[in-house]
Amino acid sequence: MCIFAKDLEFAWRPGATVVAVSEFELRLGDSVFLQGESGSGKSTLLGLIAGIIQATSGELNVMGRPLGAMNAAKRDAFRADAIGVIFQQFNLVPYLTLLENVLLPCRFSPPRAARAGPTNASRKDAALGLLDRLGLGAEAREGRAVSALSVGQQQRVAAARALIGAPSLIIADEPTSALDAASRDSFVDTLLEEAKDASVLFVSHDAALAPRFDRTESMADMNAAFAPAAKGA
Amino acid sequence: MTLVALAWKSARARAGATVLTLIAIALSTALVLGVEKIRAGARAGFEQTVSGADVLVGARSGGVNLLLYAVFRLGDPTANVSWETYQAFAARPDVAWTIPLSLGDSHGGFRVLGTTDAYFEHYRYGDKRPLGFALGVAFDETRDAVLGAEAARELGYGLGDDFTISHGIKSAAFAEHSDHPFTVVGVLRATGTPVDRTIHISLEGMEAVHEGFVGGAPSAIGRRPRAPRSAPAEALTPDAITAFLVGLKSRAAALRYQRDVNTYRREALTGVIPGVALAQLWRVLGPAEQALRVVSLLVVAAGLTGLLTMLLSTLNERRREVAVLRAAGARRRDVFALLVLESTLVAGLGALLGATVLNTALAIVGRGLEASIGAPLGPLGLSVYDAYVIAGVTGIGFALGFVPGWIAYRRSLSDGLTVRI
Ligand SMILES: Nc1ncnc2c1ncn2[C@@H]1O[C@H](COP(=O)(O)OP(=O)(O)O)[C@@H](O)[C@H]1O
Ligand SMILES: [Mg+2]
Repeated sequence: MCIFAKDLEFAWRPGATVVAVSEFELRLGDSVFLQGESGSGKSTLLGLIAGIIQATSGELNVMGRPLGAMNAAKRDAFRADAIGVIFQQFNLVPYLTLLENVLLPCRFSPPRAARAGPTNASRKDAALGLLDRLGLGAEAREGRAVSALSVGQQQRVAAARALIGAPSLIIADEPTSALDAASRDSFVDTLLEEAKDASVLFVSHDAALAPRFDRTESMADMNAAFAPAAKGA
Repeated sequence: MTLVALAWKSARARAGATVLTLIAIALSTALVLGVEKIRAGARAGFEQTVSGADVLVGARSGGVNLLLYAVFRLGDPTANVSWETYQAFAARPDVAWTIPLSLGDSHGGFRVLGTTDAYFEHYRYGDKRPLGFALGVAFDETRDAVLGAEAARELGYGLGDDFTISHGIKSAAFAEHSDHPFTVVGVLRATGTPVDRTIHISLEGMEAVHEGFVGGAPSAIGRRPRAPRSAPAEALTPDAITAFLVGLKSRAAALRYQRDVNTYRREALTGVIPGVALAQLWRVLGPAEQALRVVSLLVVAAGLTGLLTMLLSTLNERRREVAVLRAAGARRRDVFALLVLESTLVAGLGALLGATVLNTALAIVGRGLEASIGAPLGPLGLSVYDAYVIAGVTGIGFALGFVPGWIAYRRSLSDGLTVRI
């Protein structure tokens, strides 16, 4: 099991519960499409899974590790080792080159660095290989500034960064919302192709993408399933 | 990539703001170091200047004032000591030697000092070092002159060169004693004291210059017949001198000698022990030095406040950057460290830059500065104090980095995984 959540609750402010998930599972190697209205708590749920924020109550295991029992530093290390993250936009550190952005997780996670390659040079080759497959090899070799990339190109660099060093889980928070339909489809296809050994949790409000994934979940349904229980308690 | 490299690239990405902050810190550091260098240099210079004499005697005035004009050639003497009085005090049995000092004229901006051979024999500077000749010998005849090292170099005079001396300290041509040329017979080795900027002539030579002058202006009655080139010394005995230095047979007698000078009935005199007068000078200057220091430290504080302001103002635009770093695996303490490192880097580089600029500038204009403050600066180059100030500024930069570091640390929790702008 890659992700297992039970009776998971989170509130940014006391009394205003944003995430209330009675049960959610993601098996190893599966890809899940998570759909939901804006403000329904999708990003918050991803933050919980990434271990950036901690659940108010409930159980959350990622790769068999109980996040609730880990302190902030351990969760940070775990995220660095096991999870690749792609945002909606502004995924890149503007003062780093394309290649430096992709290699960033190797800086924070020795296991990911080791999986990417034994030496700096081999890791660089791995990053260039990924970027080649994502269609950005030439830009990377030119040492182009990330600000000179289109939004679509930036999202693909972000995908390369999420994929480097083969993390077990890729979480993507509406990574295609700034892309046009054609680049959206090719982005999702390439991502799923490259991440076929990993589990993928993909958030979007664009239902057209759902068929490409193994399974679709609705944030509203997950929260609603919990709600009566919460009220009854 | 290390965190330091990351911090460096982040600072470089905001080059405009970073460079301005860096310059502010560099300038303020240079100011602190400059103030200290000039202060310590001037002190060392003063303390080096006279080390052999037990008592300095001049007309009644403040002890510090007497020391300033007689030894450091700063300011003008207000009154003289009569020749008879000088003779009386020089002849005392407890006196080992005396050096008469007769000031007033100048040539090419360098002070002319009338004195005797005793000057070359008994004057001591620095660590009780005697004066030495780089070229030539001491003066012998009325028109002989011995130049300090810097005076010789700047005037471009060598042995055998002739020059004339004007009355008063301005080198205005109207008062040049053009019919009394002096000849350079000796050049002293550099001492790093006002001696270097002095033109030494004999008392007789000084007297000869003043012949035919009343109150510093050519007499209306006309000149006395011009003295022959080697006038007999008696004919040119001065009426008065500016001051005299006294070496006693026993140091212990200095206080008594000084008291006798200060209570002398026939003429109002002041006797000072040079070390005591210097200590008095430092006491007088102490609050001013302190004020200068405080002001320069406040300027550094302003520079460092600019650093803090810059870092705080970038925090908002950094939120996404921090979120990206966090998502890529950065721990919260990495985010904290990043800001502390950037703050430390900018402060440290600024301080280093300031120290380098100051020391380079001093190496270039140092001599001119020495001339204009009238006292030599201490040794130039990076000092221990410089190192302390650089370390201090860097340390404060480090500490200031905790403020934005802590804010970013806290914020990276409340922002969650994605930043909502
Ligand atoms: N960092 C935050 N601090 C406070 N409230 C937040 C934060 N992030 C999200 N929220 C609130 O939580 C709710 C869910 O937001 P979010 O998880 O971003 O939803 P979604 O991603 O589905 O649009 C919203 O009401 C939002 O205002
Ligand atoms: Mg969202």
